Amino acid sequence: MGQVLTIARTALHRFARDRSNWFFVLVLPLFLIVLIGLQFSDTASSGRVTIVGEGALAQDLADSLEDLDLSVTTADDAEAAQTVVARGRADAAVIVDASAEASWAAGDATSVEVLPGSAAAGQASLQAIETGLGSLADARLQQQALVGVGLAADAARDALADVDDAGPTVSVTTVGDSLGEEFAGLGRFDLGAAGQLSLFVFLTSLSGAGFLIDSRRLGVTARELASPMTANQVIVGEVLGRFGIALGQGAYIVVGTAVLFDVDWGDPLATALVLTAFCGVSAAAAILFGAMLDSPNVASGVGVGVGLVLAALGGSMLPLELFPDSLLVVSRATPHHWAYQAYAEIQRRGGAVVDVLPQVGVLVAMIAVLLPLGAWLLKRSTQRAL
Amino acid sequence: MDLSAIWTMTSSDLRQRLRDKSVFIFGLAVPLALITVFNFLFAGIGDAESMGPITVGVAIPDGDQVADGLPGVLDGVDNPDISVQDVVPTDAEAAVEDDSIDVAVVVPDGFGATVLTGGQADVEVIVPADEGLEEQVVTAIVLGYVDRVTALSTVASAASSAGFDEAAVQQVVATVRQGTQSPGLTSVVGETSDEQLGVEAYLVAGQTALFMFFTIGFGVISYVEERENGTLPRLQSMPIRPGSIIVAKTLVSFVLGVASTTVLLTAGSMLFGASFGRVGPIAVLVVATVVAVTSLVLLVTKVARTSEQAQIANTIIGLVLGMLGGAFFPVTGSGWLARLADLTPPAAFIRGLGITSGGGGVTDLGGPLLVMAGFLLVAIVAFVAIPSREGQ
Repeated sequence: MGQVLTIARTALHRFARDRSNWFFVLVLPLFLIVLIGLQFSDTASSGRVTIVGEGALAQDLADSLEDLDLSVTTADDAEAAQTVVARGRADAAVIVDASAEASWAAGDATSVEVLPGSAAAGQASLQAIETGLGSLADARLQQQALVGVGLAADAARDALADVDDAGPTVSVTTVGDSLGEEFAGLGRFDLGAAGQLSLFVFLTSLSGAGFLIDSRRLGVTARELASPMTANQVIVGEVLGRFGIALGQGAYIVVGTAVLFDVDWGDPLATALVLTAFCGVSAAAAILFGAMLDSPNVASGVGVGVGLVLAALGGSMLPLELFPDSLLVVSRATPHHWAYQAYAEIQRRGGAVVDVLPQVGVLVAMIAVLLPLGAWLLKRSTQRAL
Repeated sequence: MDLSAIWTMTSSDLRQRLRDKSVFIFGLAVPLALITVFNFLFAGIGDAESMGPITVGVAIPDGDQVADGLPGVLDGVDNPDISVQDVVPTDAEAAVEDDSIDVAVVVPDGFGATVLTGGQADVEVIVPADEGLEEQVVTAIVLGYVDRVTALSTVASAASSAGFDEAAVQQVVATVRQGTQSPGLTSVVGETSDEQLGVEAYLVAGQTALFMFFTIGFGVISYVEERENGTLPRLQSMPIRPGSIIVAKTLVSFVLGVASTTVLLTAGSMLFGASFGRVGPIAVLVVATVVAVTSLVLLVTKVARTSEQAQIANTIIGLVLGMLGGAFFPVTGSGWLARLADLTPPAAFIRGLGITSGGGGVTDLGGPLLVMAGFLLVAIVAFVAIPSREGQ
């Protein structure tokens, strides 16, 4: 056992000694989780409108649009607003210039410029903006009508405020299953954190395959196999090294995101179990890669490609709930898919260890297939010329 | 300049790189694999170009003069194309659930009478749980219609509570009703340029921008490898100008960058139907982007001690700028993050392709080209200012 641990410890040392690994293991995952979290906060509305103008009309219009569930931002000038819409960062822009403010304040008929984006969302926002403008126009019309029959302006405003709750209302009823309900209760960073956890743990493990190839190239693996150790001991040592790196990174992401971004990982035991099983699959896959490929450069390229493709197919870049049915079938072949399902059970539905046993079972089955295959290939690889 | 020597070194390096599988893997295989998978995943999810037709079931009580204008308002909308049909109130939810209609609008019995006497009544809009833009538009139109009715109802209540007699109240209501026919606040719809790519084209552009860093790195970073392997002093001992060696390495990066970008954009157009516009402006953009990225990688080689360090630094810079620049998903919003993202070469490249795909020419590419020029300038100044690692 001591020899096995020595091999594992050496793998950990070699990994930790390379400071660049610290960036990929510690900094990049959190950077991406922040970036994804910031995107989530921006898209949770019926539409995005940017308004140019600082007067009373611009402010009232912004309030009116927010009442219609639109996300409203401000832009410095018309040119900036045009840029924001042209780049798809807002669905539409409303320009309330000084002349519109002056005309509105004087009680005259007023028009504002609306710039809808070219996509369908731009046209949809245009309709909402028309409704918002109509509300403001109606409110002023009511006041003018009351003043017209002799009521003072202040008294008219008060009388209208008193009956603000009167009149018909519109309520929206939804039917059918909602994707929103599935994600309800998830924090801003929660979904991104679970996806990125699997993506980075697997990617880092595959990138580590290059170390194993180096060991083979330098004859270290062959010497280990020639020493009074069984082949299985050598392989278990190598796997343990990769597993330690994966588990260390995984634990760091879980704790880091919980502390820094308040990500709710649910039952710690269940999360630890899923993470451990996933790290096992990642380590076994790294051994398989390290045994199959002979060039560290090629392993690095293929590792990044395979790591990202599997992550995309496994739900780390797009929630599985949005996948077409045909791709869901393919997705089930990835370990990320089962980790995603398990974290969803824990984070969204308060699942405990017993609830994630089916997903963990699949991950363990993957280890049971990959590990012997990797071990067999590693043994064969030492016979191969590099 | 020793053009012959530069050409010899460049062609020799290019041959080496072409023999090295990693150029193909990073430059073509991995980005194409990612584009293919992303295309399967994201193709149906991005912003739609236009809204589809929609069927709205409307339940209006018989003889309700206040509500009976609503079907006409809905029917008159062109975008989306709304078809209106009658629906029985008790069947409305089931009809939306089984997709026989897209949205139902149910006006309650006695709506008009209740409203005209200042009472409250609720109009119900029934939409699918995962409503689309079309359903949101219908809800906004109904809200607008009810707002008009509310304006009449509340102004009548306000006039009554202010002590006016029935004749004055009717006068106030008539004024408001007349006014709603020609609203005092309207919109003038202007046009804005479109710098957005379709989903398929965005995926191709994003991955091309990201992997450009890796491909370009293979050229310039080999300068550090020559230093490590001890072949650089031998090259320097040749009867050529010292600057020729780095020029040749830069040229290798440039050729690899332009070639891989061209292949990826062409493959993306052919395989995924992405359209990027005219060749001339695209070529200018590609060359400017490759030059900007090459200058960054050149700077990395000046700072790095070993080729491994240079590779890793290049990967880190590429990933950070790529992600920030929207290689995987566009950075939305108008805050500081979006402004920062705009200044990265990948974002400028993607934006530039958006401009060319909308029919823009070289003169319209001012913004993206300025970003590339800025990067080139900063890299040149830093390259000159930072002392070389050679001999250390």
